[in-house]
Amino acid sequence: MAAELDDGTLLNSILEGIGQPFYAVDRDWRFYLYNADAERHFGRPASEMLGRVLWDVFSFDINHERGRILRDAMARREIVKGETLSMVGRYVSYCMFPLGDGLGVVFRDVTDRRQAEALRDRAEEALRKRSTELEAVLETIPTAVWFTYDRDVQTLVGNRRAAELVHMPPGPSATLTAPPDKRPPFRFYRQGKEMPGDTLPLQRAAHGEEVKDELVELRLADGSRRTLLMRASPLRDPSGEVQGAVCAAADVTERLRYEDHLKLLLNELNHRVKNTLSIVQSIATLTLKGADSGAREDFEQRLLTLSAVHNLLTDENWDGALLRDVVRASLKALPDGRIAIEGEELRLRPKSAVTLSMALHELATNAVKYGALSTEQGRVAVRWRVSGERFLMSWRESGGPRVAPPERTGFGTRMIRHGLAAELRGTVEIDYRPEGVVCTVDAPLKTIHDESARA
Amino acid sequence: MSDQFKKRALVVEDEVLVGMLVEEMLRELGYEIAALSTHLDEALRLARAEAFDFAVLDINLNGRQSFPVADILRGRGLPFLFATGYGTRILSRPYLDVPVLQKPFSLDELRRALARLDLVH
Repeated sequence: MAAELDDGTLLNSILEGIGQPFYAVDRDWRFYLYNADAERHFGRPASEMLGRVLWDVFSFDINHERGRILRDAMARREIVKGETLSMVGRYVSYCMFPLGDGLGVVFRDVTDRRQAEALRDRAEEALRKRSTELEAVLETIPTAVWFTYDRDVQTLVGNRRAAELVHMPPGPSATLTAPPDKRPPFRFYRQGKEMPGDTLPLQRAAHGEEVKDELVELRLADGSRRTLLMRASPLRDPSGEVQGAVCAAADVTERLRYEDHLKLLLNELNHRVKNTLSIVQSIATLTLKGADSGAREDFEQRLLTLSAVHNLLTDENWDGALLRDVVRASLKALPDGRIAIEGEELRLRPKSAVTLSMALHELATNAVKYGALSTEQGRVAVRWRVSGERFLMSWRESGGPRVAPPERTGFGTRMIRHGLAAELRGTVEIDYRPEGVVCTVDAPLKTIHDESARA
Repeated sequence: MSDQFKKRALVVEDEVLVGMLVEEMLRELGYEIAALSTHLDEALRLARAEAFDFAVLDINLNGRQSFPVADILRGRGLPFLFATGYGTRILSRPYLDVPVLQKPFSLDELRRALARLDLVH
């Protein structure tokens, strides 16, 4: 052995051939072996190291962990293995062993591996946290959720709400596209017809379709029925290939029942209001019987206008009404073909709709009695537009008899000039031009506009 | 036209004041009133037995629907129209062709609805 150790070529071959940093110190900590990998690791050439005392070179480390490990290995005279931070701040896996009366040290840089491990640990931890959160969400939400990872959708897994909904134990179960003898005892219906298994949202999503908000009726074996609002999406792998599907279903049975009930109540209320309007009409008619028939007619028409705009608002659940519909309803008694209605789509608040309707009715009545519509040729143009934050509307008569301002101010004029202006918080002007009455409205858009306007 | 040729109307309306208005309007249009009924059972009896030429039926009579009255009128071949505060959606299949007046209605609307029944007087 000694003869071989003396063979410098052999030793050099071993030192450089092990492919890892290696050095050896004698009992006085002087470097006497130091390979090329050690040069690269420490960034110091062998010429600078050989013959020098380790603690002189790495003076800073003498009191650190690695210094302690070295001294310990030297003292114990046995093989010591472990991992530590090296003198140049890299993580190393080391093996120290007695060599003569000194110490041999071979080590491997494991910094990259440790960093990769740390990253992986963090990613795993984040994933674990995320999946715990998702699981908690899935078990907590009042929405049924089903997953399948089976392209034929023969089996699925549902969350707790899903199990409750179909009265089945939680966990994996067969689907309605499973072989007939395995299918669960409930069915889905749409418009009174049983849905074939392959038309169900989960099944369609498993074939790549995005299913959005479909109302489906669930019928259970005990005869009970629930209405579900369903959505489903395909689950894809990173390459985009469909791997399965997820389907969510909200039970909207109570909500629909409640909405039906509200509709019924509103319908009933509307019926009563109309009944009351009819009674008021009756009282006025019977009271004014034999009296001024013009007054009776005026009153009745005003009441009927109120009733018409009321119907319009009821059809929209008192959310508001389209201006065009309000104009048409208010002018429906006028002769066809002589009224031009022109303006953009605009929703009115209920109160604005009622007041505007009454005012338009008065303008129309006046036009029929004295204005453009009292002749065969006269015409009326009703136009509106939005200009910035202002709402502008005009009533323009033409082709009628020569106009003279009225001698007294009646209900109609008051309704238009004061009532409408007050309701719209704007200005309303009636100009009795000889060639035809012109009425203009200029009001802030926000007072007439229905803020909750639906597109 | 002399009174003996005037067409006679049955008015079924659970709101007395509205019934009175309908009567008044019908008279104004030249008809005679055979009877005004505010209850379903009475209306059924009148529909079967009373002599009249046409009827104006309120659909909702104190929470009950007047369709059985309409069935009897159909059986007798007597024309009728509905008056309602509920809108036309309430009508079921066999009555989709019957004129419907939305309450409240004007004298003119009543006249036009009656014209659809081919009531000549």
